[in-house]
Amino acid sequence: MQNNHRLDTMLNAPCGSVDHRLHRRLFLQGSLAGAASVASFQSLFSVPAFADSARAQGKRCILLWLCGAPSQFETWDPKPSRPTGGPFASIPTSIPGVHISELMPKTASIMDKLTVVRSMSTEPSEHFQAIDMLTRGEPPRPPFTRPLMGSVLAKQLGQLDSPVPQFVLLDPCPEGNEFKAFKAANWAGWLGAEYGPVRFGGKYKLENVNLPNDLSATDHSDREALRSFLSKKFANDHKAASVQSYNSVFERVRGLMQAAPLFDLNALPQADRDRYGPGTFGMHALLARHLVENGSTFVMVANGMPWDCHVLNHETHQMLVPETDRIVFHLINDLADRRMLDDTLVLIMGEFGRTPWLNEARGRDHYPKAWSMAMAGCGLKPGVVYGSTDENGVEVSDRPLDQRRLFATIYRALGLDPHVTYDLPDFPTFNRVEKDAAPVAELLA
Amino acid sequence: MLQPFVISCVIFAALCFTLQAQEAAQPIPSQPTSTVSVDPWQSIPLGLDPTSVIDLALEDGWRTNQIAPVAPADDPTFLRRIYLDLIGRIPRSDEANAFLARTDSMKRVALIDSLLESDEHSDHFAEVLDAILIGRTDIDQLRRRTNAGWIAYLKRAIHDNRPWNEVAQEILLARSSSTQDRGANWYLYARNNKPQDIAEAVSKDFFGVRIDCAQCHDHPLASEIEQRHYWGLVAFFNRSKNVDTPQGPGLSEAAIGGFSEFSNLEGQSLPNELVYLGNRRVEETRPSKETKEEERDDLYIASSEPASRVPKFSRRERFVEDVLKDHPLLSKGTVNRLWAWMLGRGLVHPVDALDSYHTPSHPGLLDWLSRDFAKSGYNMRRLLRSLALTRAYQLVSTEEKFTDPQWFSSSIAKPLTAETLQRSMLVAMAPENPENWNKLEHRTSFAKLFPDVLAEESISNVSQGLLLTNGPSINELVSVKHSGFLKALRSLHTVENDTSAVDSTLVTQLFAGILGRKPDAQELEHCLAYMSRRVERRDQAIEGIAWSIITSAEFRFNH
Repeated sequence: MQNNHRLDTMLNAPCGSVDHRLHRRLFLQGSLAGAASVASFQSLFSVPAFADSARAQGKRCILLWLCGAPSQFETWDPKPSRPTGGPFASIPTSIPGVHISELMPKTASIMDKLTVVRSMSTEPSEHFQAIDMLTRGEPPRPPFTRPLMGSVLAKQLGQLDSPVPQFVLLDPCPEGNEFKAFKAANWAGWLGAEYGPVRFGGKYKLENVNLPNDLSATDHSDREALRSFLSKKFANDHKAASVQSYNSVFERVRGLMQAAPLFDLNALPQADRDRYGPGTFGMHALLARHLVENGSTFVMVANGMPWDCHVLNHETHQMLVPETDRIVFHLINDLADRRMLDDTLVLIMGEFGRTPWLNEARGRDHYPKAWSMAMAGCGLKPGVVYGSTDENGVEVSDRPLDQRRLFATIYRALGLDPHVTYDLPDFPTFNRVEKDAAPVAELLA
Repeated sequence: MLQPFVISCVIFAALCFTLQAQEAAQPIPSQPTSTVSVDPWQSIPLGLDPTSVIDLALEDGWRTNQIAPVAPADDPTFLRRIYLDLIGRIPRSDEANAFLARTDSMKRVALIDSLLESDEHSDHFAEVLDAILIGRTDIDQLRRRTNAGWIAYLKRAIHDNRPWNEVAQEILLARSSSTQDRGANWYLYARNNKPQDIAEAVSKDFFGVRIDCAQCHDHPLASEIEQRHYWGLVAFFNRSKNVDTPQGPGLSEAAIGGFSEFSNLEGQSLPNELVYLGNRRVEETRPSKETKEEERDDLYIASSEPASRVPKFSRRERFVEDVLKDHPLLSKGTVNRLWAWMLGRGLVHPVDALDSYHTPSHPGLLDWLSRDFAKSGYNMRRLLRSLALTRAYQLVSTEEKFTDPQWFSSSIAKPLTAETLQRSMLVAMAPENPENWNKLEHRTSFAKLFPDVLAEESISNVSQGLLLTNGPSINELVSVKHSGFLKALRSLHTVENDTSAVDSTLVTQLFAGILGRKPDAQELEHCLAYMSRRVERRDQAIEGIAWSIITSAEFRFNH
């Protein structure tokens, strides 16, 4: 259709320039006078420009999800020349006295912008249970499903009526062993599927984003209003998440028709793609930046489950860590350059760490007892390294941190009350973070 | 009618007695727990009517948990539900009228029986089994296995109601050479010579147990699943190799090789012996590491064809005979899956988690049903019929407040599978050229977006919403131009002249044709308002309303 073609042309142009944004905003407001075809789109595209609402709204979060669990020894907590330390050296960073793995030279140079925890200590030692807990904050309690942190943030910090999806999962790989099973689960839990992620990447594409032939924009939105009305009673009578989620996806259709061009990787500036790439993980990290710039609240970037190094740990980390180093470096710098780092929290973590010792296959196995994660930006004290492990990295030797206090710290950094009680009729009492776990003051700005 | 009544009295007495005994047998906390407690379910005889046993066991759960079950479903609700579950589509209006006109007390039983015996039932269940056993694939893969006879094999197995253990054995022996049965070979053949893929699939599909994580270590949460079971199951299939014969795909098997070791987390190397869950073990002489085994003709059955010759000691055959044949998990896994199919979730949830970490909601009942199923000769049709006749199956699906679904105190709304949703849309819209919408291409592309079959929790995603809203195919289907149903409704106004009466009739018929019920006053009002704004564009008005109904949650779910 001519209309859609025009829309694509307008929105697929490289983003970033003020000039372009102005044009897009004008278009979205329906102010591009003269084109009759555009006028019929007014009911569809009458929301304010994405970037404006993003600026107004403030806080957001990017999670670089290192699924499978990276080794703390080859990243944030090196133990050079110790029997557990592996073959890689450590290098100094921009924080005097703090060393990290030599596989991360770029990140070392911006260590003063990061906040690193070296004393994570958690319980679950299997992927599914650990992924579940480190993304929701609590172990399961069936039949109740706690929402993911991303869903909580989408609800608390996001704008439900925004056309830009508030929670986006970028993951090119439909597989990923236990991560695959997790991805099939109920992400938004008791908050309702409207706070679940829009998935993109790999086989997840945004298709069917154009108006059907011979259907006016008015009919398109009126028949949806009728559909929504006809579905309401059924949804009231059926409490299951499956039913609720079905109705909620239709509420997002119109927004996605508008926001679809934001997901066009080819429209991102070539210079940026060169810096972040090659590889999908880098492209998706760049896309995450682009999405939060344009109004998304929570973007989770994953790449299947590549970090589960039961075999040839060192060789695998030699491949994976430099890529992550490059991506972290550019992402943090870009956010800082755009003056967005103060409002954007970046989390870099997996579901646990890896054993100090090697197995027969020269791999490191699962190790939740003492591991590391890193953060940067919004609400955090930069240049802090919190906690430590003993000389061989076997035990946490100083200030252990569990997932509850980590979550409390993250929520507080984003300006949210960690202990607020959910309003859930017919449910037991649930709090955003249980057991009154306290945020860590030393980590907060 | 005396006989069933007497039977239920007997069961009721037996169950009351045993359930009370069960309560009494629970040890008082202060007592030492070494007291031997006898499972009262063991004393309920097998071969009783499973429906009555299920009803009493579920009712006991409601009492114990102080839950009130919801009301029974009326005839139209039951009708739609049973059509969708058993033959994978909504009823046509003539079928609905015939059923609703009947007044006899046996009408539901009669309907269940006739559906179970229909060809549509075997077509539908073959599709479901294909989605479970093979998964969602692209169209080329679907064509290949259709040509290989796999779909036809499943259809015939359902049509003839073959004992499920026999079918399972045939599929896993994969040595069928007759034109009629060679499709059975596809299940193993589809795994492309990857014995680990075979092991993970076989365990999940036929025993209801996911063993994937035992590849690297004993299951951390279900201690009965050990790493040696994973590698044992692999070993049963690691001498097999895909062969393409003029008759179609097959699997050869070597008489030697397949001995290897796996290492556990402690770094020990252990032999991959032929062993699987439930302490099922097949003895086999293991050559010493120094021995080099040699292929010899006398290791194989003399008469067999060279390409698919059969070893005298066949690991696959031993697996089928000594492990699979009467394994308790084979019946338990099947019972749990068919229960989930009919009642919306398994007694063990999710359906492929029959391990000690996932406790059943009604352990005694599941165990009894599994033993009864085995005793019945793995009779799937009998079990489906029994489930369809239970009180729980015939409850309404609406509930005022959330109750834990594991008690089955209301009917659980089930999302239609891709095929069922698509076929039901075709039934409702009655396109003038149905073949244009019912090609393999449509089914695979639809199934790609709606892949779930018995998912742990089926959460919709935006891609589905975008397809149902903007997808060209659905918008064409729900159009006056293509839909015979809508075209007929459009011509209503030529009969009468009172526009508002015509419009009311039209909306009422849209609801009846798509949802099998009348609109309520508010629904009618909203739809008429929608039409009144499109007086000059009557076709678009009809299409808009039809689209709103066919994409409503009520249509999307079996409830």
